[in-house]
Amino acid sequence: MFFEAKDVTPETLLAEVQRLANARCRFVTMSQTVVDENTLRLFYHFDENLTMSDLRHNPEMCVWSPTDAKGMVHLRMDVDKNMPIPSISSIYFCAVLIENETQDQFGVRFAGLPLDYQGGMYLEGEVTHAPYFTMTTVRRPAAAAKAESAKGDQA
Amino acid sequence: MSNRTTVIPFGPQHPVLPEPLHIKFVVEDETVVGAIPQLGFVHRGLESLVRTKDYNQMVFVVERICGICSCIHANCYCNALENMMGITAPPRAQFLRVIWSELHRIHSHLLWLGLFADAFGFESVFQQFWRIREHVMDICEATAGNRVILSVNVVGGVRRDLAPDQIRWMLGRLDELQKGMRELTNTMLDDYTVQERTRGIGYLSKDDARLLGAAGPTLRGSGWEIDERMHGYAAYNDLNFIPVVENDGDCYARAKVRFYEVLHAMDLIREALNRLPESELTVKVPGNPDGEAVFRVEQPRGELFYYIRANGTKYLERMRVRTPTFANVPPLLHMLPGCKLPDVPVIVLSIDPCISCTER
Repeated sequence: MFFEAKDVTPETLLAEVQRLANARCRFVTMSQTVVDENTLRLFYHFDENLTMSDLRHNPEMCVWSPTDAKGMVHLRMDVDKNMPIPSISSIYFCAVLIENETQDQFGVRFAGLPLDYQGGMYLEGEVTHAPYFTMTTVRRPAAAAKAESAKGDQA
Repeated sequence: MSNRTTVIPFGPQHPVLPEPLHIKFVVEDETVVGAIPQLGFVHRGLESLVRTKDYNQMVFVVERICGICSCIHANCYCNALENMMGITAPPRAQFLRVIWSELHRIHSHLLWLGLFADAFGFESVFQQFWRIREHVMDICEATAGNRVILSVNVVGGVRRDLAPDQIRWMLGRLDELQKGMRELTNTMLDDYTVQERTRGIGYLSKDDARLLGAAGPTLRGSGWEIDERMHGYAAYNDLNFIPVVENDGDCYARAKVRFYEVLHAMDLIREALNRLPESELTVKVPGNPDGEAVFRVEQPRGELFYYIRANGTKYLERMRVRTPTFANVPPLLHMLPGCKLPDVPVIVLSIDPCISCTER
Protein backbone atom coordinates (compact mmCIF):
# COMPACT_ATOMS: atom_id res chain seq x y z
CA MET A 1 0.00 0.00 0.00
CA PHE A 2 1.56 3.27 -1.10
CA PHE A 3 -1.16 5.44 0.30
CA GLU A 4 -3.01 5.26 3.58
CA ALA A 5 -6.79 4.89 3.42
CA LYS A 6 -9.33 5.02 6.21
CA ASP A 7 -11.84 2.15 6.21
CA VAL A 8 -15.51 3.10 6.14
CA THR A 9 -18.73 1.13 5.70
CA PRO A 10 -21.89 2.05 3.76
CA GLU A 11 -23.38 3.04 7.14
CA THR A 12 -20.56 5.41 8.10
CA LEU A 13 -19.66 6.72 4.64
CA LEU A 14 -21.93 9.75 4.51
CA ALA A 15 -20.97 10.94 7.99
CA GLU A 16 -17.30 10.65 7.14
CA VAL A 17 -17.72 12.46 3.83
CA GLN A 18 -19.71 15.20 5.55
CA ARG A 19 -16.87 15.59 8.04
CA LEU A 20 -14.42 16.06 5.16
CA ALA A 21 -16.79 18.53 3.49
CA ASN A 22 -16.95 20.50 6.73
CA ALA A 23 -13.15 20.50 6.78
CA ARG A 24 -13.27 22.13 3.31
CA CYS A 25 -11.71 19.20 1.49
CA ARG A 26 -12.12 19.05 -2.28
CA PHE A 27 -13.48 15.81 -3.75
CA VAL A 28 -11.01 14.54 -6.34
CA THR A 29 -12.46 11.25 -7.55
CA MET A 30 -13.28 7.64 -6.78
CA SER A 31 -11.33 4.55 -7.77
CA GLN A 32 -12.75 1.06 -7.96
CA THR A 33 -11.21 -2.36 -7.89
CA VAL A 34 -12.75 -5.83 -7.80
CA VAL A 35 -11.94 -7.81 -4.63
CA ASP A 36 -13.84 -11.01 -5.39
CA GLU A 37 -16.83 -12.07 -7.45
CA ASN A 38 -19.26 -10.35 -5.09
CA THR A 39 -17.24 -7.52 -3.62
CA LEU A 40 -16.20 -4.21 -5.08
CA ARG A 41 -13.70 -1.97 -3.30
CA LEU A 42 -14.27 1.77 -3.64
CA PHE A 43 -11.73 4.45 -2.80
CA TYR A 44 -12.86 8.03 -2.27
CA HIS A 45 -10.02 10.51 -2.80
CA PHE A 46 -10.11 14.00 -1.30
CA ASP A 47 -7.73 16.91 -1.56
CA GLU A 48 -7.07 18.70 1.68
CA ASN A 49 -4.50 21.18 0.48
CA LEU A 50 -6.86 24.01 -0.39
CA THR A 51 -5.62 26.12 2.47
CA MET A 52 -1.96 26.08 1.65
CA SER A 53 -0.14 28.92 0.00
CA ASP A 54 2.86 27.19 -1.49
CA LEU A 55 3.90 23.82 -0.15
CA ARG A 56 7.48 24.13 -1.34
CA HIS A 57 8.39 27.70 -0.57
CA ASN A 58 6.27 28.35 2.50
CA PRO A 59 5.72 25.06 4.31
CA GLU A 60 5.17 26.96 7.54
CA MET A 61 2.09 28.53 5.97
CA CYS A 62 0.36 25.16 5.66
CA VAL A 63 -2.43 25.03 8.19
CA TRP A 64 -3.28 21.39 7.69
CA SER A 65 -1.78 18.04 8.60
CA PRO A 66 -1.55 16.06 5.38
CA THR A 67 -2.34 12.37 5.65
CA ASP A 68 0.27 11.66 3.02
CA ALA A 69 2.96 13.68 1.30
CA LYS A 70 0.62 14.80 -1.43
CA GLY A 71 -2.02 16.35 0.80
CA MET A 72 -4.75 13.80 0.16
CA VAL A 73 -7.24 11.90 2.29
CA HIS A 74 -8.47 8.51 1.09
CA LEU A 75 -11.49 6.50 2.25
CA ARG A 76 -11.78 2.79 1.46
CA MET A 77 -15.07 0.90 1.43
CA ASP A 78 -15.85 -2.69 0.43
CA VAL A 79 -19.38 -3.15 -0.88
CA ASP A 80 -21.53 -6.07 -1.92
CA LYS A 81 -22.24 -5.66 -5.63
CA ASN A 82 -25.90 -6.56 -5.09
CA MET A 83 -26.56 -3.94 -2.43
CA PRO A 84 -27.27 -0.27 -3.22
CA ILE A 85 -24.39 2.04 -2.37
CA PRO A 86 -25.10 5.40 -0.72
CA SER A 87 -24.40 8.24 -3.11
CA ILE A 88 -22.27 11.09 -1.78
CA SER A 89 -23.56 13.48 -4.45
CA SER A 90 -25.92 15.07 -1.93
CA ILE A 91 -22.76 16.34 -0.20
CA TYR A 92 -20.46 16.67 -3.22
CA PHE A 93 -22.57 17.12 -6.35
CA CYS A 94 -19.43 16.62 -8.45
CA ALA A 95 -19.45 12.91 -7.47
CA VAL A 96 -22.46 12.37 -9.71
CA LEU A 97 -20.41 11.61 -12.84
CA ILE A 98 -17.98 9.19 -11.25
CA GLU A 99 -20.81 7.36 -9.48
CA ASN A 100 -22.60 7.00 -12.81
CA GLU A 101 -19.37 5.81 -14.40
CA THR A 102 -19.04 3.20 -11.63
CA GLN A 103 -22.57 2.02 -12.37
CA ASP A 104 -21.64 1.62 -16.04
CA GLN A 105 -18.38 -0.16 -15.51
CA PHE A 106 -19.13 -2.36 -12.52
CA GLY A 107 -22.88 -2.90 -12.70
CA VAL A 108 -23.57 -1.70 -9.15
CA ARG A 109 -26.30 0.73 -8.08
CA PHE A 110 -25.97 4.00 -6.18
CA ALA A 111 -28.97 5.09 -4.14
CA GLY A 112 -30.03 8.72 -4.28
CA LEU A 113 -28.27 9.88 -7.43
CA PRO A 114 -29.68 13.26 -8.53
CA LEU A 115 -28.80 12.52 -12.16
CA ASP A 116 -28.99 8.79 -12.85
CA TYR A 117 -28.07 7.48 -16.31
CA GLN A 118 -29.00 3.97 -15.09
CA GLY A 119 -25.91 2.31 -16.49
CA GLY A 120 -26.08 4.16 -19.80
CA MET A 121 -23.64 7.04 -19.37
CA TYR A 122 -21.07 5.43 -21.66
CA LEU A 123 -22.64 2.14 -22.62
CA GLU A 124 -25.16 1.54 -25.35
CA GLY A 125 -28.46 -0.18 -24.56
CA GLU A 126 -27.38 -3.52 -26.03
CA VAL A 127 -24.45 -3.91 -23.59
CA THR A 128 -25.65 -6.32 -20.94
CA HIS A 129 -22.51 -7.04 -18.92
CA ALA A 130 -20.49 -4.60 -16.87
CA PRO A 131 -17.14 -4.49 -18.69
CA TYR A 132 -14.93 -4.26 -15.60
CA PHE A 133 -16.90 -6.76 -13.51
CA THR A 134 -17.58 -9.29 -16.21
CA MET A 135 -19.85 -11.58 -14.23
CA THR A 136 -22.15 -8.69 -13.40
CA THR A 137 -25.13 -7.56 -15.39
CA VAL A 138 -25.57 -3.87 -16.03
CA ARG A 139 -28.59 -2.75 -14.05
CA ARG A 140 -31.05 -0.59 -15.91
CA PRO A 141 -34.20 -0.28 -13.78
CA ALA A 142 -36.07 1.73 -16.40
CA ALA A 143 -35.30 -0.80 -19.13
CA ALA A 144 -36.20 -3.68 -16.80
CA ALA A 145 -39.51 -2.05 -15.90
CA LYS A 146 -40.26 -1.49 -19.57
CA ALA A 147 -39.50 -5.14 -20.37
CA GLU A 148 -41.73 -6.28 -17.48
CA SER A 149 -44.56 -4.10 -18.67
CA ALA A 150 -44.14 -5.38 -22.25
CA LYS A 151 -44.34 -8.93 -20.88
CA GLY A 152 -47.50 -8.03 -19.01
CA ASP A 153 -49.03 -6.54 -22.14
CA GLN A 154 -48.28 -9.69 -24.11
CA ALA A 155 -49.84 -11.87 -21.41
CA MET B 1 -42.34 23.08 -17.74
CA SER B 2 -43.77 26.42 -18.82
CA ASN B 3 -44.97 27.17 -22.34
CA ARG B 4 -41.91 29.35 -22.94
CA THR B 5 -39.50 26.51 -22.20
CA THR B 6 -37.65 24.88 -25.08
CA VAL B 7 -35.04 22.12 -25.14
CA ILE B 8 -32.13 22.81 -27.48
CA PRO B 9 -29.55 20.13 -28.27
CA PHE B 10 -25.92 21.31 -28.31
CA GLY B 11 -23.43 18.99 -29.98
CA PRO B 12 -22.15 16.32 -30.36
CA GLN B 13 -21.12 18.02 -33.63
CA HIS B 14 -20.80 21.76 -33.13
CA PRO B 15 -18.45 24.36 -34.69
CA VAL B 16 -16.82 25.24 -31.35
CA LEU B 17 -16.38 21.67 -30.16
CA PRO B 18 -13.26 19.89 -31.38
CA GLU B 19 -14.63 16.70 -29.82
CA PRO B 20 -18.11 15.24 -29.39
CA LEU B 21 -20.05 16.32 -26.32
CA HIS B 22 -23.82 16.56 -26.20
CA ILE B 23 -25.64 18.88 -23.81
CA LYS B 24 -29.39 19.34 -23.69
CA PHE B 25 -30.16 22.95 -22.82
CA VAL B 26 -33.48 23.89 -21.32
CA VAL B 27 -34.05 27.52 -22.29
CA GLU B 28 -36.68 30.12 -21.52
CA ASP B 29 -36.54 32.64 -24.34
CA GLU B 30 -32.80 33.29 -24.67
CA THR B 31 -31.89 32.28 -21.10
CA VAL B 32 -30.55 28.85 -20.21
CA VAL B 33 -32.32 27.41 -17.17
CA GLY B 34 -30.94 23.86 -17.20
CA ALA B 35 -28.27 21.69 -18.80
CA ILE B 36 -27.98 17.90 -18.97
CA PRO B 37 -24.80 16.38 -20.43
CA GLN B 38 -24.64 13.20 -22.45
CA LEU B 39 -21.32 11.40 -22.77
CA GLY B 40 -20.15 8.20 -24.40
CA PHE B 41 -19.43 9.18 -28.01
CA VAL B 42 -15.70 8.44 -27.78
CA HIS B 43 -15.52 6.00 -24.86
CA ARG B 44 -12.78 3.48 -25.74
CA GLY B 45 -12.32 1.55 -22.49
CA LEU B 46 -8.56 2.13 -22.52
CA GLU B 47 -8.27 1.37 -18.80
CA SER B 48 -9.27 -2.23 -19.46
CA LEU B 49 -6.22 -2.74 -21.67
CA VAL B 50 -4.14 -3.35 -18.52
CA ARG B 51 -5.36 -6.93 -18.79
CA THR B 52 -3.75 -7.49 -22.18
CA LYS B 53 -0.78 -5.08 -22.28
CA ASP B 54 2.07 -5.33 -19.81
CA TYR B 55 2.99 -2.36 -17.65
CA ASN B 56 5.71 -1.19 -20.05
CA GLN B 57 3.43 -1.36 -23.08
CA MET B 58 0.80 0.58 -21.12
CA VAL B 59 3.02 3.68 -21.28
CA PHE B 60 2.17 3.92 -24.97
CA VAL B 61 -1.51 3.26 -24.30
CA VAL B 62 -1.85 6.00 -21.66
CA GLU B 63 -0.20 8.45 -24.06
CA ARG B 64 -3.07 7.83 -26.41
CA ILE B 65 -5.71 8.70 -23.82
CA CYS B 66 -5.21 12.28 -24.97
CA GLY B 67 -3.06 13.54 -27.81
CA ILE B 68 -2.74 17.07 -26.58
CA CYS B 69 -1.14 16.14 -23.26
CA SER B 70 0.14 12.66 -24.06
CA CYS B 71 3.53 13.23 -22.46
CA ILE B 72 1.94 14.29 -19.17
CA HIS B 73 -0.23 11.17 -19.02
CA ALA B 74 2.87 9.04 -19.45
CA ASN B 75 4.71 11.14 -16.88
CA CYS B 76 1.97 10.54 -14.28
CA TYR B 77 1.71 6.83 -15.04
CA CYS B 78 5.49 6.32 -14.85
CA ASN B 79 5.76 8.31 -11.63
CA ALA B 80 3.01 6.21 -10.01
CA LEU B 81 4.77 2.97 -10.97
CA GLU B 82 8.19 4.29 -9.97
CA ASN B 83 6.79 5.20 -6.53
CA MET B 84 5.31 1.73 -6.21
CA MET B 85 8.59 0.06 -7.19
CA GLY B 86 10.70 2.32 -4.98
CA ILE B 87 12.80 3.80 -7.76
CA THR B 88 13.41 7.39 -8.85
CA ALA B 89 14.17 8.51 -12.37
CA PRO B 90 17.64 10.10 -12.72
CA PRO B 91 17.88 13.91 -12.36
CA ARG B 92 18.40 14.55 -16.08
CA ALA B 93 15.32 12.48 -16.89
CA GLN B 94 13.31 14.48 -14.35
CA PHE B 95 14.34 17.75 -16.01
CA LEU B 96 13.63 16.40 -19.48
CA ARG B 97 10.18 15.30 -18.33
CA VAL B 98 9.50 18.86 -17.19
CA ILE B 99 10.71 20.30 -20.51
CA TRP B 100 8.49 18.07 -22.65
CA SER B 101 5.54 18.45 -20.26
CA GLU B 102 5.77 22.23 -20.42
CA LEU B 103 6.04 22.13 -24.21
CA HIS B 104 2.77 20.21 -24.19
CA ARG B 105 1.23 22.75 -21.83
CA ILE B 106 2.21 25.57 -24.17
CA HIS B 107 0.86 23.97 -27.32
CA SER B 108 -2.33 22.91 -25.55
CA HIS B 109 -2.95 26.42 -24.22
CA LEU B 110 -2.15 28.01 -27.58
CA LEU B 111 -4.53 25.64 -29.30
CA TRP B 112 -7.19 26.53 -26.76
CA LEU B 113 -6.56 30.29 -26.95
CA GLY B 114 -7.06 30.05 -30.72
CA LEU B 115 -10.26 28.03 -30.40
CA PHE B 116 -11.53 30.36 -27.69
CA ALA B 117 -10.96 33.41 -29.91
CA ASP B 118 -12.74 31.55 -32.70
CA ALA B 119 -15.68 30.84 -30.36
CA PHE B 120 -16.43 34.54 -29.99
CA GLY B 121 -15.66 35.30 -33.62
CA PHE B 122 -12.12 36.74 -33.45
CA GLU B 123 -10.79 34.81 -36.45
CA SER B 124 -7.51 36.70 -36.90
CA VAL B 125 -6.40 36.06 -33.29
CA PHE B 126 -7.31 32.41 -33.76
CA GLN B 127 -4.94 32.27 -36.75
CA GLN B 128 -2.19 34.11 -34.89
CA PHE B 129 -2.23 31.77 -31.89
CA TRP B 130 -2.11 28.74 -34.14
CA ARG B 131 0.69 30.28 -36.17
CA ILE B 132 2.97 30.75 -33.16
CA ARG B 133 1.96 27.31 -31.87
CA GLU B 134 3.92 25.86 -34.78
CA HIS B 135 7.16 26.87 -33.03
CA VAL B 136 6.30 24.41 -30.24
CA MET B 137 5.24 21.68 -32.62
CA ASP B 138 8.56 22.08 -34.45
CA ILE B 139 10.46 21.78 -31.16
CA CYS B 140 8.52 18.62 -30.26
CA GLU B 141 9.22 17.09 -33.65
CA ALA B 142 12.91 17.99 -33.57
CA THR B 143 13.50 16.70 -30.04
CA ALA B 144 11.16 13.71 -29.81
CA GLY B 145 10.56 12.75 -33.42
CA ASN B 146 6.81 13.41 -33.26
CA ARG B 147 4.65 16.50 -33.07
CA VAL B 148 1.97 15.23 -30.70
CA ILE B 149 2.55 11.73 -29.28
CA LEU B 150 6.11 12.09 -28.03
CA SER B 151 6.70 8.63 -26.49
CA VAL B 152 9.69 9.83 -24.49
CA ASN B 153 8.73 8.45 -21.07
CA VAL B 154 9.48 4.95 -19.86
CA VAL B 155 9.17 3.48 -16.40
CA GLY B 156 12.44 4.52 -14.75
CA GLY B 157 13.31 7.53 -16.90
CA VAL B 158 13.17 8.81 -20.47
CA ARG B 159 14.20 7.39 -23.84
CA ARG B 160 15.61 10.50 -25.48
CA ASP B 161 18.19 13.11 -24.61
CA LEU B 162 18.87 16.67 -25.76
CA ALA B 163 22.19 17.50 -27.39
CA PRO B 164 23.86 20.89 -26.63
CA ASP B 165 23.15 22.24 -30.16
CA GLN B 166 19.49 21.21 -29.79
CA ILE B 167 19.31 23.13 -26.53
CA ARG B 168 20.72 26.28 -28.19
CA TRP B 169 18.26 25.91 -31.07
CA MET B 170 15.34 25.42 -28.65
CA LEU B 171 16.25 28.55 -26.73
CA GLY B 172 16.18 30.51 -30.01
CA ARG B 173 12.76 29.14 -30.98
CA LEU B 174 11.43 29.92 -27.51
CA ASP B 175 12.54 33.55 -27.96
CA GLU B 176 10.56 33.75 -31.21
CA LEU B 177 7.56 32.19 -29.49
CA GLN B 178 7.80 34.63 -26.60
CA LYS B 179 7.97 37.56 -29.03
CA GLY B 180 4.81 36.29 -30.73
CA MET B 181 3.01 35.97 -27.39
CA ARG B 182 4.02 39.46 -26.30
CA GLU B 183 2.63 40.87 -29.54
CA LEU B 184 -0.70 39.19 -28.83
CA THR B 185 -0.97 40.28 -25.20
CA ASN B 186 -2.82 43.52 -25.83
CA THR B 187 -5.01 42.04 -28.52
CA MET B 188 -6.13 39.14 -26.39
CA LEU B 189 -6.32 40.68 -22.95
CA ASP B 190 -7.07 44.38 -23.47
CA ASP B 191 -9.34 44.35 -26.50
CA TYR B 192 -12.81 45.79 -25.91
CA THR B 193 -14.57 43.05 -27.90
CA VAL B 194 -12.78 40.23 -26.09
CA GLN B 195 -13.65 41.68 -22.71
CA GLU B 196 -17.23 42.32 -23.75
CA ARG B 197 -17.68 38.67 -24.73
CA THR B 198 -15.84 37.10 -21.78
CA ARG B 199 -15.97 39.34 -18.70
CA GLY B 200 -18.69 38.42 -16.19
CA ILE B 201 -19.68 35.43 -18.33
CA GLY B 202 -19.71 31.88 -16.90
CA TYR B 203 -19.07 33.01 -13.35
CA LEU B 204 -17.83 30.39 -10.87
CA SER B 205 -17.37 31.60 -7.31
CA LYS B 206 -14.41 30.56 -5.19
CA ASP B 207 -16.53 28.40 -2.87
CA ASP B 208 -18.40 26.76 -5.75
CA ALA B 209 -15.11 25.92 -7.45
CA ARG B 210 -14.08 23.96 -4.35
CA LEU B 211 -17.44 22.29 -3.73
CA LEU B 212 -17.84 21.28 -7.36
CA GLY B 213 -14.34 19.83 -7.55
CA ALA B 214 -13.00 22.13 -10.29
CA ALA B 215 -9.43 21.59 -11.49
CA GLY B 216 -6.66 23.51 -13.23
CA PRO B 217 -7.26 26.94 -14.79
CA THR B 218 -10.98 26.64 -13.95
CA LEU B 219 -10.02 26.36 -10.27
CA ARG B 220 -7.21 28.92 -10.39
CA GLY B 221 -9.39 31.35 -12.36
CA SER B 222 -11.68 31.38 -9.30
CA GLY B 223 -8.91 32.37 -6.94
CA TRP B 224 -7.49 29.07 -5.67
CA GLU B 225 -3.72 28.80 -5.58
CA ILE B 226 -3.77 25.10 -6.39
CA ASP B 227 -1.46 23.53 -8.91
CA GLU B 228 -0.10 20.00 -8.65
CA ARG B 229 3.30 21.26 -9.76
CA MET B 230 3.56 22.85 -6.30
CA HIS B 231 4.04 19.35 -4.93
CA GLY B 232 7.36 19.28 -6.72
CA TYR B 233 7.08 16.07 -8.75
CA ALA B 234 9.65 15.52 -11.54
CA ALA B 235 12.02 18.51 -11.36
CA TYR B 236 9.46 21.18 -10.36
CA ASN B 237 10.92 21.12 -6.89
CA ASP B 238 14.18 22.53 -8.27
CA LEU B 239 12.61 25.11 -10.57
CA ASN B 240 11.19 28.50 -9.82
CA PHE B 241 7.55 27.58 -10.29
CA ILE B 242 4.75 29.92 -9.19
CA PRO B 243 1.07 29.15 -9.94
CA VAL B 244 -0.89 31.67 -12.01
CA VAL B 245 -4.05 32.72 -10.16
CA GLU B 246 -6.91 35.08 -11.09
CA ASN B 247 -9.79 36.00 -8.83
CA ASP B 248 -12.70 37.01 -11.07
CA GLY B 249 -14.02 33.48 -11.74
CA ASP B 250 -15.33 34.30 -15.24
CA CYS B 251 -14.33 33.22 -18.75
CA TYR B 252 -11.91 36.13 -19.01
CA ALA B 253 -10.12 35.07 -15.80
CA ARG B 254 -9.73 31.52 -17.09
CA ALA B 255 -8.35 32.80 -20.40
CA LYS B 256 -5.93 35.06 -18.55
CA VAL B 257 -4.66 32.16 -16.42
CA ARG B 258 -3.92 30.14 -19.54
CA PHE B 259 -2.31 33.07 -21.32
CA TYR B 260 0.12 33.76 -18.49
CA GLU B 261 0.75 30.04 -17.97
CA VAL B 262 2.14 29.94 -21.52
CA LEU B 263 4.64 32.66 -20.64
CA HIS B 264 5.50 30.99 -17.33
CA ALA B 265 5.95 27.61 -19.03
CA MET B 266 8.51 29.22 -21.35
CA ASP B 267 10.41 30.50 -18.32
CA LEU B 268 10.34 27.02 -16.78
CA ILE B 269 11.65 25.43 -19.98
CA ARG B 270 14.45 27.99 -20.25
CA GLU B 271 15.41 27.45 -16.63
CA ALA B 272 15.34 23.66 -17.04
CA LEU B 273 17.42 23.81 -20.24
CA ASN B 274 20.01 26.04 -18.63
CA ARG B 275 20.27 23.86 -15.55
CA LEU B 276 19.98 20.44 -17.19
CA PRO B 277 22.06 18.13 -14.94
CA GLU B 278 24.37 15.42 -16.25
CA SER B 279 23.25 11.90 -15.41
CA GLU B 280 21.94 8.66 -16.87
CA LEU B 281 18.54 8.75 -18.56
CA THR B 282 17.06 5.66 -16.91
CA VAL B 283 17.47 3.50 -13.84
CA LYS B 284 17.14 -0.27 -13.77
CA VAL B 285 13.61 -1.39 -13.00
CA PRO B 286 13.49 -4.11 -10.30
CA GLY B 287 11.02 -6.82 -11.37
CA ASN B 288 7.29 -6.26 -11.59
CA PRO B 289 5.19 -3.77 -9.64
CA ASP B 290 3.22 -4.94 -6.62
CA GLY B 291 0.78 -2.92 -4.49
CA GLU B 292 -1.42 0.13 -4.87
CA ALA B 293 -0.42 3.70 -5.67
CA VAL B 294 -1.96 7.03 -6.56
CA PHE B 295 -0.24 9.91 -8.28
CA ARG B 296 -1.29 13.39 -9.43
CA VAL B 297 0.29 15.74 -11.93
CA GLU B 298 -0.81 18.99 -13.52
CA GLN B 299 -2.08 18.72 -17.08
CA PRO B 300 -2.80 21.84 -19.16
CA ARG B 301 -6.47 21.43 -18.18
CA GLY B 302 -5.77 20.69 -14.54
CA GLU B 303 -5.14 17.91 -12.09
CA LEU B 304 -4.62 14.46 -13.60
CA PHE B 305 -5.05 11.54 -11.21
CA TYR B 306 -3.92 7.91 -11.60
CA TYR B 307 -4.81 5.00 -9.34
CA ILE B 308 -2.87 1.81 -10.06
CA ARG B 309 -3.16 -1.62 -8.47
CA ALA B 310 -0.56 -4.23 -9.30
CA ASN B 311 -0.15 -7.85 -8.24
CA GLY B 312 3.52 -8.66 -8.86
CA THR B 313 2.98 -9.85 -12.44
CA LYS B 314 3.78 -7.85 -15.56
CA TYR B 315 0.07 -7.10 -16.02
CA LEU B 316 -1.54 -4.50 -13.79
CA GLU B 317 -4.70 -5.49 -11.98
CA ARG B 318 -6.43 -2.14 -12.29
CA MET B 319 -5.71 1.33 -13.58
CA ARG B 320 -8.09 4.22 -13.08
CA VAL B 321 -7.56 7.62 -14.64
CA ARG B 322 -9.39 10.79 -13.62
CA THR B 323 -8.79 13.53 -16.12
CA PRO B 324 -9.34 17.25 -15.45
CA THR B 325 -12.24 17.68 -17.87
CA PHE B 326 -14.11 14.96 -15.97
CA ALA B 327 -13.68 17.14 -12.87
CA ASN B 328 -14.68 20.32 -14.70
CA VAL B 329 -18.00 19.06 -16.13
CA PRO B 330 -19.97 19.58 -12.86
CA PRO B 331 -18.67 23.20 -12.53
CA LEU B 332 -19.65 23.74 -16.18
CA LEU B 333 -23.20 22.55 -15.45
CA HIS B 334 -23.26 25.05 -12.61
CA MET B 335 -22.02 27.96 -14.77
CA LEU B 336 -24.53 27.51 -17.58
CA PRO B 337 -27.96 28.13 -15.97
CA GLY B 338 -28.74 31.83 -16.13
CA CYS B 339 -26.51 32.58 -19.11
CA LYS B 340 -27.72 33.77 -22.51
CA LEU B 341 -27.78 31.30 -25.37
CA PRO B 342 -25.12 33.14 -27.48
CA ASP B 343 -22.69 32.87 -24.53
CA VAL B 344 -23.01 29.08 -24.30
CA PRO B 345 -20.14 28.24 -26.72
CA VAL B 346 -17.80 30.64 -24.91
CA ILE B 347 -18.65 29.17 -21.50
CA VAL B 348 -18.41 25.55 -22.66
CA LEU B 349 -15.03 26.24 -24.23
CA SER B 350 -13.79 28.11 -21.16
CA ILE B 351 -13.18 24.83 -19.29
CA ASP B 352 -11.14 23.59 -22.27
CA PRO B 353 -13.15 20.38 -22.63
CA CYS B 354 -11.18 17.33 -23.75
CA ILE B 355 -13.69 14.57 -24.30
CA SER B 356 -11.32 11.82 -25.41
CA CYS B 357 -9.52 12.34 -22.08
CA THR B 358 -12.78 12.37 -20.16
CA GLU B 359 -14.20 9.19 -21.61
CA ARG B 360 -10.92 7.33 -22.15
